[in-house]
Amino acid sequence: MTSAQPFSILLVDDDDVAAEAVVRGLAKNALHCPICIADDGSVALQILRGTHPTSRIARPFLVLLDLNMPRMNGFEFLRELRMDKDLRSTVVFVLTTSGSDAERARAYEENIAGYIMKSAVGPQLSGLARFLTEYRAAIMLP
Amino acid sequence: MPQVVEFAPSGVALTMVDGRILLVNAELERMFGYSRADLLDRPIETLVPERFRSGHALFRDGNANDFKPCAMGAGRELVGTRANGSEFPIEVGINALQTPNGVLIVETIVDITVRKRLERIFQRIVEAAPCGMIIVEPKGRIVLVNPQTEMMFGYSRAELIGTSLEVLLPERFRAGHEAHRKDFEHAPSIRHVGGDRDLTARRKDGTEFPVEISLNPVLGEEDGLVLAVVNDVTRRYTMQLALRQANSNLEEFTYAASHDLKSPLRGIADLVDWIGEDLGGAASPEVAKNLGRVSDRIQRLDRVIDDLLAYAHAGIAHTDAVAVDPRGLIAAVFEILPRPAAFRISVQIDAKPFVTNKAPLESVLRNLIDNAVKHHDRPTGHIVVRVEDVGRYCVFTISDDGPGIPAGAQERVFRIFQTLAQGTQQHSGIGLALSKRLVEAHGGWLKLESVSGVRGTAFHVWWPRFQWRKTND
Repeated sequence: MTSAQPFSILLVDDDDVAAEAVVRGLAKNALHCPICIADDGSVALQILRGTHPTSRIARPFLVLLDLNMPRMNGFEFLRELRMDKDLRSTVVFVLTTSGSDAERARAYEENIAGYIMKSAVGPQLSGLARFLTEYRAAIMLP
Repeated sequence: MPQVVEFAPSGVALTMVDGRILLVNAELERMFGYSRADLLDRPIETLVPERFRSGHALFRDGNANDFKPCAMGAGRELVGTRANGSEFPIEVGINALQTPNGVLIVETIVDITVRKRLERIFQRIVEAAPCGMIIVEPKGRIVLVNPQTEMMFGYSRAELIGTSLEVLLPERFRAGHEAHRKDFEHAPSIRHVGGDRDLTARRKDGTEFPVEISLNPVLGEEDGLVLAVVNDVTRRYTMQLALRQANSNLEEFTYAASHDLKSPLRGIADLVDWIGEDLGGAASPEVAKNLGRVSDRIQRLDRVIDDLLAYAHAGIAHTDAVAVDPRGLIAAVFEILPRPAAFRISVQIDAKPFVTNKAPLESVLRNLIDNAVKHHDRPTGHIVVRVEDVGRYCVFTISDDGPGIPAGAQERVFRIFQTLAQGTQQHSGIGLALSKRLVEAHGGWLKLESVSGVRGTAFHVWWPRFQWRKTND
């Protein structure tokens, strides 16, 4: 069996503790991959488009997106992303604490790959790490 | 006199042109309380009160040539006076009879006491009705309005009678309304308009207000009169708006609570965990203890937020009703209730199954029974659950032999985040407030019974056994 395809993760979350919790949770559960953090949607777009002064991300990659952020929130980021012909195929998972049905429906309309509730993948996001490990083994990213 | 006249159901008198009575029938005798002999040769004016007799061409015209016949129904309404002096309303029809002996006059008299009474009642109903009443002709001309209509629209009765109904509508709707009116004319039936959508009326001063209208064809009227009953629904409308606003505020609050409070709290919890991990065995016992206290408090706050959300949702009545058997319900609550083995439980049930929203009821009972155990101050205790049908309610009584609730605190325990237990980590103190809200949202009420200085507390849950039908008005 070939080794899993390596990928990078772009983590979009304005809360640095929440972002670090993801980083720690994945590391603790032995999912090792480069993680790039953006603290809002517009920074995430800069990184993806290669216009960010310092941060770069290597392909292939997927996005873990928080919805509630200042400046450009998750929905605005998704809309912009889907309109960009170079980025529209990006695989995005929403990672949130909000359980609102309306938000979930709205997010899926933007063709997200999945809506992940933090409360459903705890403790310490071990479920998320497991899922991404399996995902990496089975899925070929664009 | 022919029998036909003698036994006619209305009073009949035959008089000379000058009014002298020649003949009366049985009904006239009965109606006025005179005997035939008393009336013969007396003037017909004997039958009306004194005050109407002089200077008044009462039953007849002085000149027989000018005599104009006047049918019943279109006849004149007058007052009659009986032999005993009492008065009553009558209607009189007059006709001339050509005989070989000259012109005679036939007076037909009907007692209209009942009709006048019905008219007065009708008048009262229309005048006193708390809604506007408007009667309209097929062409849309107003023929009758009541005082409520005048008040509602700011027009006087005189201004409205004879004008087109469309004057009561905002100008932008007038043309369209004519078409609606024609439709109605072709297929008249009782209709309610504006119940589900906004219908706007216009006052004389140009201001507009929301109304609800019911249209009723006046049956048996060949000219197609329509009665419109108009209600000013401004108050309901304003309340609906306020309610909608409040609901959306609550939704925003719920969202803020779930996200804006929970995620920083999760961050704090993570940070505390990381500090613990990073310190490892290097933490002094004090630091380790304090980290533990921080974690406890974070957990408690997390529970408070969950409870707050539950409380916010509790104001919304559930709609999925199922058949509930009180016996099974109580058994299910006790089955998973953590309690010391030394607690005695008695259950007395004298209630029939009924259809209701099971989840909220179960959560209320679970909470009250749980409280009875949790707040008990002794290692052994006795909890009694009684269920009985009282009228349209099923009453659940949960009594314990615990410490009781002091009089001063009895009102406070129902308020949010009030708890009488000390140093507690088990509960945020929202249970009773939540239960009360759940019970009230479903049409019942929750009552506390505890006598100061005496041990024991009883809670009564009055839960409706029948649900009000949801109407879409």
